[in-house]
Amino acid sequence: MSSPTNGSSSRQDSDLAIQVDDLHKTYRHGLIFRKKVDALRGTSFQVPRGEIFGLLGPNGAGKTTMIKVLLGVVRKTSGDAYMLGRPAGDRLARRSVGYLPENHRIPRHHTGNTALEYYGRLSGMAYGDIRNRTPELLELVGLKDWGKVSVKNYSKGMQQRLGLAQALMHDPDLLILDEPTDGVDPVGRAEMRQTLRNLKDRRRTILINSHLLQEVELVCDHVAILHKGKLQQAGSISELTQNAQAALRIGIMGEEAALANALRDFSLRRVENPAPGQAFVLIDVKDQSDVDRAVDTVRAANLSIIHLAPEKRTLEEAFVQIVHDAGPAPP
Amino acid sequence: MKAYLAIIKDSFREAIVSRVLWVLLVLSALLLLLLSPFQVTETAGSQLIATELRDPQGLFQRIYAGRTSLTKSPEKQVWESMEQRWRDQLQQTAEAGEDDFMASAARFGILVEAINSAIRNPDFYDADAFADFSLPEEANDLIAQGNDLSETQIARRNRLILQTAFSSDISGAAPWQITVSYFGKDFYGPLSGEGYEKTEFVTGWLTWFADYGVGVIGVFCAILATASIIPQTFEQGAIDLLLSKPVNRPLVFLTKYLGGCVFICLVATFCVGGIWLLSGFRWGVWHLPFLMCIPVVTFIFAIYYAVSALAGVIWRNAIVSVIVTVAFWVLCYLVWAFHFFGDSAMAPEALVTVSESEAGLIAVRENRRTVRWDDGDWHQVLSPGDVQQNPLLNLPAPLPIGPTYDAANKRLYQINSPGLFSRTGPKLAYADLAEDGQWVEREGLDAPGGAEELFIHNGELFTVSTQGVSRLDGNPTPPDEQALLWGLVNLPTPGGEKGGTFVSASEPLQISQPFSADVDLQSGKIAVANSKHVVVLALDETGKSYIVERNREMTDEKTRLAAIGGNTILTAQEDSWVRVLNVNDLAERATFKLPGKNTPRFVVASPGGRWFAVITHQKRLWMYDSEKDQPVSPGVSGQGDITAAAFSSDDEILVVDALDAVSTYALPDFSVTETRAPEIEGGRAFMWYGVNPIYTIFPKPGELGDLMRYMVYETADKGESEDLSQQRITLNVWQPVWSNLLFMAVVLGLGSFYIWRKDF
Repeated sequence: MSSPTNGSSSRQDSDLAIQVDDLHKTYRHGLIFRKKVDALRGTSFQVPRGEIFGLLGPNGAGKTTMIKVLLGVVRKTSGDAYMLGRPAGDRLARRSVGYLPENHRIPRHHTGNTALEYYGRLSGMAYGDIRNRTPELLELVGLKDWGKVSVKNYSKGMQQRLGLAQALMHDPDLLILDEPTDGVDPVGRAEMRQTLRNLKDRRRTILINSHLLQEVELVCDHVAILHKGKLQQAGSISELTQNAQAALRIGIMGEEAALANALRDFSLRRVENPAPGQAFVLIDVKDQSDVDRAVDTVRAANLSIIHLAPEKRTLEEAFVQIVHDAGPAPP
Repeated sequence: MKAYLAIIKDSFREAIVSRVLWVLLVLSALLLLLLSPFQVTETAGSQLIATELRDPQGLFQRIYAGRTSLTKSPEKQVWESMEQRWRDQLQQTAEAGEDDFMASAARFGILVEAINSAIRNPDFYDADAFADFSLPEEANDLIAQGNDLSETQIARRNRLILQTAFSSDISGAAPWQITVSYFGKDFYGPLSGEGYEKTEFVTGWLTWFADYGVGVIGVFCAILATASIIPQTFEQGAIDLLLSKPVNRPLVFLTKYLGGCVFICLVATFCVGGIWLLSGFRWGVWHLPFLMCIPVVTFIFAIYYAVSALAGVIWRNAIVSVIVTVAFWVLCYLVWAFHFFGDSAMAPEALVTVSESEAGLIAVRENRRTVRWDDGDWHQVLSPGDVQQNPLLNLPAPLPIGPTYDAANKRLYQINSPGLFSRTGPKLAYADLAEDGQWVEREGLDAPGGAEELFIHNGELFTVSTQGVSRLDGNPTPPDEQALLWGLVNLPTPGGEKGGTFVSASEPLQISQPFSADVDLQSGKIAVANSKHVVVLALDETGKSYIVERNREMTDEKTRLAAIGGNTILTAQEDSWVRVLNVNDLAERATFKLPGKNTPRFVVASPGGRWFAVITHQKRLWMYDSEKDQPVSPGVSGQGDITAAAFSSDDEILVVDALDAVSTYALPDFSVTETRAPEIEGGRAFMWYGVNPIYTIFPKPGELGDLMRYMVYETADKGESEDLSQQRITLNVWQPVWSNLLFMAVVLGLGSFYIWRKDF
């Protein structure tokens, strides 16, 4: 795995948009008998500038806590975290960050225009810049004709789009999106993905927290998988989906039994019979030599190969396996 | 800065969109519509009001006796001008002879109504009846117009004639009286006298309305309207967005709070400003200081809103915010109530005069009871008279004159002045020290009206009153006769002693009230001071009569108190100036101003005239050294709680505090030589150690109404009487401001700290 992963450097790196080192966060609840919840247990990772980075994990993994620590919404217990070269929560850093929280709530008394004006002013923008930017942003997120409509009349998807617009309002260097496509229709999602790619082209860094792994797979350069407060794995999509447990799909003209018999020394995952006179198998292969040996074995059995292709594992499959391998969380 | 201005702007936007602002403005507009049909009409003063009667008993006796006169007289004319029904009722009360308070009150009210009916009578004026009186020019002008007068003019004419003929019994009418109408129908008035001049009346009612209407009901509505602002800002989803921006958390909280206050300030401006405009355009009263109610109402709201905001930030629930705020409101009221009623119960108990003689330590309480220190506590020796003994009544009345001790006869004297509903005039009361050491109280004879000093010199009992100096001739017991009026029957005294009488011991002086008098017991000289004169009286060769030795006209027309000792007279004025005069020529040799906002209540002189002390309404002690001719900083403890002081000699001063403790300080070094203090127990202990400390630090939003009145009227005195020695309630209008500000700072500080530390 070649991408930045479990970085343990405690120095701030100006090429990094986000740098997290051994970060811990413990929540304490209750007044007298305080209960502890360890949301982050020593997480470390880095996000280079200009990337689209996915933060994945099951429910309760600590993803939102991680984001909130970076933004200063929640205080870290220990460890280091930097955002755009400044300590997590730093107000100057927040000037260059756009955030779309999960289940965000834009006050109901706003219209689209006034909401963008409000959040723009909170980000330190001048009224003139806000006026110039608002129509462009509303068009970008597909709300061109909804600027004067009250937010309370927006659908869930429209509120999500407006939320994205307010995050983009001040042209931030770092965009943090928590479930950005929640409630958005497929067309909207596609538009959003294009928007993110355009931002990446302009050297903006984007951190996405999403459960929709298909979406992540389509847009992210690198991902990190959190589980029970710890980083399990990090890397590019291809690194996470390609590993020693790759599979090879071979199709022949002939009977299943003949094919299965020829490949009896291999670990068969699946046998398929898509059409009469054709048989397909999916076998586990470790490396290229296994692929060569499989081909030789089939040819040696006088079977005619009509299909030969490595079977790529999805991100979801990789994710599930990684989480499963991580085992139960410590008490 | 942009961010925080955006937050404030957002508060207004929210209020406008949510229609809260419109609702409050509509309610305010409705209120103005409700007030606009009121009309306040001012006409020339004519009707008699109760407080204008100086001596109701004396007036009634004269009128009642004069009804049967064969010749024309003012008394007969008044009686005959009264409506028949009032005459009948007065007749009944005169014949009733009941000895109870309610009958006295009824007689008093009937007398006022009866005289007013005479004032309204067009036939009231008779040239023969009032021939002996020099009527004012205004009255003569109205008389000259004959019958061509309106009802108002008739009443005004008759009033002027009446108060001229009965000048010692009726004070002058205020130039104006007012009537209040609603939709053209009279429902209140006519009212005249102090406080009923139109501007003052309108401003007073509007200030009351601003205090209770806007300051209570309006603030409560405002709390309901703004209760959701803070909770909604900090609820999940919204707060994440907000805190991701480059803003400071405590500042977000404080800015939201400030936005709410600004919003309510605008509504208060609309409401109070609207009332002010209504007052000006509708009633012609443009009292600009009334607009000071706006910041005060806003301040009251800000205190409660601070509590609401803190609750909103912790629980993030508008309903909980309202409940907590209401609970705080109730708590503030309870603290105030405990303090107010406790103080009211204890205040009449405060010792306000003290003296030390062969009789021991004698003092007079605010409730006019005379007490003596004995066996570690104060015990009553003289009571204030019959009516005032009703414990449910704490009616305003002058303090007893004296007491003074006759060592030869072992007798303590004082003069009890009548209260508002007293059936009798001033009486000499005395207590004899019996063989067993007990004091036996007795009621003495009638005393001259308007007495201000009572003293014994060379074995003679003298009093100084509005008629001059009088001397008791004979025994202090009442004359052996029966009085039929009012049903009062005097029984012969034990032992069959013949009663005495007060005889004049000076030329008639006609001293106008209020005045102050003091005697130098060493020289026998008397100093009398009022707003127009300072007079020195000295004994003649007989030693039983006084002559005027010196008279100085005072041009400043300030009510003043006086004390005399040695060659010095010290006067303390209502404007807090102290003037020091020489006895021998009444030349002014020094002037000083009492420090701070102190108004004098009593002045006393040491026997030899070296020291003078001024005790103020603010319970502070100021002293003057006549030898060095300069003020002295009194090294006494308890400034702010000192209720009385007296000199037992030229070397000692007795100082009394609010807990009835008397400390004796040696002069000039102010070392404490003796302290006589009763045990504080029961209710007093509870108040002193429990309620008062809590009250001091607790916020007092409800008392900002006093601040409102202070800013509107520019005075902090309540119930001001011309008589400086009468108790005045001087409000400390700024103490509630500081305690409230401190409270707000603590609450907002807590809220800011909570927000700063909270993980959202």
